[in-house]
Amino acid sequence: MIYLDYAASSPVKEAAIKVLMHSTVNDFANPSSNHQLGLDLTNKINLIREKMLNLLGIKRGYRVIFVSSATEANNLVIRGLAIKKGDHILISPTDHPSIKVPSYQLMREGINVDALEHDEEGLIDEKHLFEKTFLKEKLLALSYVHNQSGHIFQIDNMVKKIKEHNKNIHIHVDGVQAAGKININMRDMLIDSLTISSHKMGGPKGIAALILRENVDLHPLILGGGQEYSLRSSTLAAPLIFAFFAAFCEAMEKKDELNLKLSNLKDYIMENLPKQCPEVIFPFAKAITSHHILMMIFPKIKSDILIRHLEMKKIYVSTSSACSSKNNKDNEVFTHLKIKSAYHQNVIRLSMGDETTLEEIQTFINEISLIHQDLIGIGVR
Amino acid sequence: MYKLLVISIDELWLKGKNRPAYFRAIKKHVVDVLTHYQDEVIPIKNEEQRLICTSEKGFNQDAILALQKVPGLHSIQPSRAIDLDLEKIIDEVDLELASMREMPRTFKVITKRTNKRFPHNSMEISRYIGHLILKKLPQYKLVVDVHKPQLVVSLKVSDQHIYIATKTYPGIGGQPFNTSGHLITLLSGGFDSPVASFLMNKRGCRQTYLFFYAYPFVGQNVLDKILKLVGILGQYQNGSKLYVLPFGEFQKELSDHIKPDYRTLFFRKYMLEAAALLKSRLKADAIITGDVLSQVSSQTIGNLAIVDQLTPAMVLRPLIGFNKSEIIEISRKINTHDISTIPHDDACAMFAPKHPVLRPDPEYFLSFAKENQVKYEVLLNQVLDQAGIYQISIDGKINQLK
Ligand SMILES: Cc1ncc(COP(=O)(O)O)c(C=O)c1O
Repeated sequence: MIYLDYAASSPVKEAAIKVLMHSTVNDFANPSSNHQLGLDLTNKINLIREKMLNLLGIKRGYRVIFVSSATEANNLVIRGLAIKKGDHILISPTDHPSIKVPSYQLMREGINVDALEHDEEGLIDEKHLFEKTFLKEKLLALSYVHNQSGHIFQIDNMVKKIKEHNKNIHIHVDGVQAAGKININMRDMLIDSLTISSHKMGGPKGIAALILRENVDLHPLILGGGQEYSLRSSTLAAPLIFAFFAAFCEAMEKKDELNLKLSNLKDYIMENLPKQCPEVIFPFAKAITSHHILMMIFPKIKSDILIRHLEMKKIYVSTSSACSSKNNKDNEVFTHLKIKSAYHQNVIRLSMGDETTLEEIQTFINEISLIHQDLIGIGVR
Repeated sequence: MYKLLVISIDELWLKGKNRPAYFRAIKKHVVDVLTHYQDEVIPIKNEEQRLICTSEKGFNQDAILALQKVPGLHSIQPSRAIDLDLEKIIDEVDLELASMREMPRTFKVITKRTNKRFPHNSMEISRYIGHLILKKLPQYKLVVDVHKPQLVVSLKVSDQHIYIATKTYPGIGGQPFNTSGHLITLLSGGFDSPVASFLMNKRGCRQTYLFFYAYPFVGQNVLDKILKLVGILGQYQNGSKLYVLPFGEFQKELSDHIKPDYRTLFFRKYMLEAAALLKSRLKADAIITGDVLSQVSSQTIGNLAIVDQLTPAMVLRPLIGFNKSEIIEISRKINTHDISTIPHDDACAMFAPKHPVLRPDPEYFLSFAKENQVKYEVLLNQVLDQAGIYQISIDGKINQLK
């Protein structure tokens, strides 16, 4: 099997599996129980909160809220902020559905949802962004790294400029595809909340974190026993938290090493795939995208036919985001990333991770080129 | 709930010597449906051309809806039974009316009498009971309308009972299941083939469905559609099967060897040949397709004729003379319409030439088929060996066997 869909979900790291198994057996107590077993778990979890903040370069001023998924973290911010009828929020039409869909819900409740614009390269149009945010926006949601194209949006600069002019705006950043891959600057304390997810960096599913500035008030989505500063009631899943942390540590430790490898692999594909398959288009420059994601367009063959042929060879890639690949309409995300509408059915996303090897990439290049040639040969449309 | 169903049988008069076998077939199907939906033993009695079913618990609506799909039934009437005493009818009609949610304003009485010794004939009974309803049940303020009544009081006078019903559920009619052969039904995701299959249900055919799954050219969404369709069509059968043939590789291999403008035509030819092979394996009798004359280029008379020349089986095309609008109307009635409209990948369209042949050159077509007869028969048999097989139960539930 050749797995090239890390951006959808990553294989679970050895270290995380060990922690998960051990902790599932031993840490069965409820962290909220006020006997020694519970207290010990709570202490351990609190220590992990601090260490996670440290890993993100944060000294003070933030909390870690453990939630079940990145979707929940994004929802908690968008649905939880005190945004009133008539207020404005700003999101990108390229955002993940876990940002867009709750925003559309706000829209139905009378809140104005404005859209960021993207330039010809798919990057955020900063001029337009500043015009908007300097004025009235209450919330700005951004992604650090785009989950389908791999774009690294210039968050750090933008955030600085925005906050100089509008101190009250809440800036939420979806860091799901960035954490463990690129540097996220939380030190300047300009980002108000950040979502990170365990299963995108080699941890188990069912756990994610919202990194939230201390003075931010949110309405919880889930009410109950008051865990997580009353922002997210539910018995804490201690084993998942520990395994998440183990994966996060390893990812941060090996980040530079991994990036170097992925950068080389990406160069290799961009250089060698066109030799065997001249039709391929890489719509976005390597310099503006994260090394782990590579978007490609095969103008002559529909991407879903390609991925099924690849899947017969046990090679797994994505057509668009795994979450949205069921919808077959004109793709809003692609439109705003400035991918020609004629190509929307021809996009493949390849995403790599720590277990990806050069041999796998070579096999991928050979197989997709053969398949592509074959399909063109019989004139499949 | 009604504890009695009176089921009338369709086309019984057509049967001479075969009548007992015909009756047995229909009774078995009714028993199987009722056992499934009622979860109890349902005694069933033959009375002339009717089946009288009784339930301890009372018949539920699902059972009645399922009976409406049993081929060979003319109608189903939830009924009340009394002795052969006309004076007792009026109390039962009173009970019926009292339980109605919406009051009818007009009515008429229709009587059928199979008991020829009963002292009054049908006309007399209808007139008498109509009169009684007006006189003894004035609180319902009913008036007689013999042309378009809102309520029909149906009376059936048999040797021992009079059955009274105010509601008639029409059946699909035709011949009982499994009395007119076993057919291989070619299904695609479109409108036509499910309707063709439905029509042959009415003629009492047992069916095995066959789907050509062009994976990896098409995706799972097409197969999902087919499973939904057989879930509906299977409810007209008493247990049926679906064969899913992996056909993508075959189509590709074929495309590599034939003139592009003949692709669609050859696909059809080999699909029919695969169906004929399956027919032999299952000892079935013929093939059903949803072909409509001249609907698309592969359905021109020339194309249909030349393919038929080479198909070693009888091909039934119940829709051959139908218009699209007629087909769509039936598909709405049998609830396949909304499934057929779901968009799906179509392998034939994917491979389709820009200009398919309308008048095929018989020499090329026939000689290619002849020269490659052995090769493709081997390949098709391999494809059949790899088929996925699904069992469809009487209520349309699907279970993958292989
Ligand atoms: C950028 C981004 N945000 C949020 C999510 C949602 O993650 P989950 O489905 O695990 O909640 C994803 C997953 O694809 C993502 O890529």
